[in-house]
Amino acid sequence: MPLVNDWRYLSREGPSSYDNVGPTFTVPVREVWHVLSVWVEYTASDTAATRQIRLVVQDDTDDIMLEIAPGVTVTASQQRDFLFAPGAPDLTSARDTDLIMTPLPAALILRPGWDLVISEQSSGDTTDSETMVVQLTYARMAVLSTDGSTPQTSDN
Amino acid sequence: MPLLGDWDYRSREGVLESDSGAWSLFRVPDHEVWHILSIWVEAEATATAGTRALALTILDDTDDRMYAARPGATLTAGQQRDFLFAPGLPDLTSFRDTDLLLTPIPAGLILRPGWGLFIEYISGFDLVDDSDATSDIDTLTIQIVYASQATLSTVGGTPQSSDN
Repeated sequence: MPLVNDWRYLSREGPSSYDNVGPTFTVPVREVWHVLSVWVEYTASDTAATRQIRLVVQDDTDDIMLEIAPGVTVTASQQRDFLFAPGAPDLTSARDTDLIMTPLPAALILRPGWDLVISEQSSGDTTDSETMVVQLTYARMAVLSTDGSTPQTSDN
Repeated sequence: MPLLGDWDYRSREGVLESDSGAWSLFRVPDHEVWHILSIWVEAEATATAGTRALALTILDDTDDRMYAARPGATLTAGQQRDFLFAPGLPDLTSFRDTDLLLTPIPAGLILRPGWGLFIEYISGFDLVDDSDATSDIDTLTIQIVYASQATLSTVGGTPQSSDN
């Protein structure tokens, strides 16, 4: 168990099954995560449609704290890889036909109870036959308290 | 309570004020320094005609302007648009997937004791509540994520002049 305020480097694979929300990572209580990279292997079904994926961060009451959209969409039967990381370029076409890189904020911090979700904004296939394999690398810091996971209002 | 020099990661939701404009202000408390990590803005315009522009302004403890940023696109009547300000983002000039705009801010955006982070509509906004049933003005929902560091003193909230 690391000491409070020490950063420990970890990685985590997203769930293999998920509902229409998309693969979700939830920060445990008494931890803060600094997200270093998110890798998404996306395979679309053969149903005709344009898919948009989005990285969404929500607080512990599911208020949206931020969203990041890659610059490229996916159509039927395509397999595309997405990398989200600080410092990555903001590509608006797939490189070598299959790789899209998108920058993340330099310090993407998730507090206790927050979620990081890879979400489909529009999907051609409601039967969930599309797949997303998600790999997350992050630094984890132990904290003594979960206070403040729900944002304060600006006057308190 | 963190020790002096430790960064404590926090978040905070804005309160919309709409007296002479539509705006939200976050004020750094005494004995704290903030490092701004991200600012999320959900803007919703009424059906009243007008092109709405947003602005981000940093004020010192005497409300002198220290820094300003403007996103690369506006919104018009009846639109709902999301804006993300964070270090390292691209500077988009059109909305991605129709509703999301990304705008970079400095990697070291530090706010000293008493300083303010101010988000406002600067043009074209609708503050006339002309609906009988529900409030009918432009709205802003704002979430900031920041690191907070305790300081012993508020000295320096007002910038020194160059000769002292």
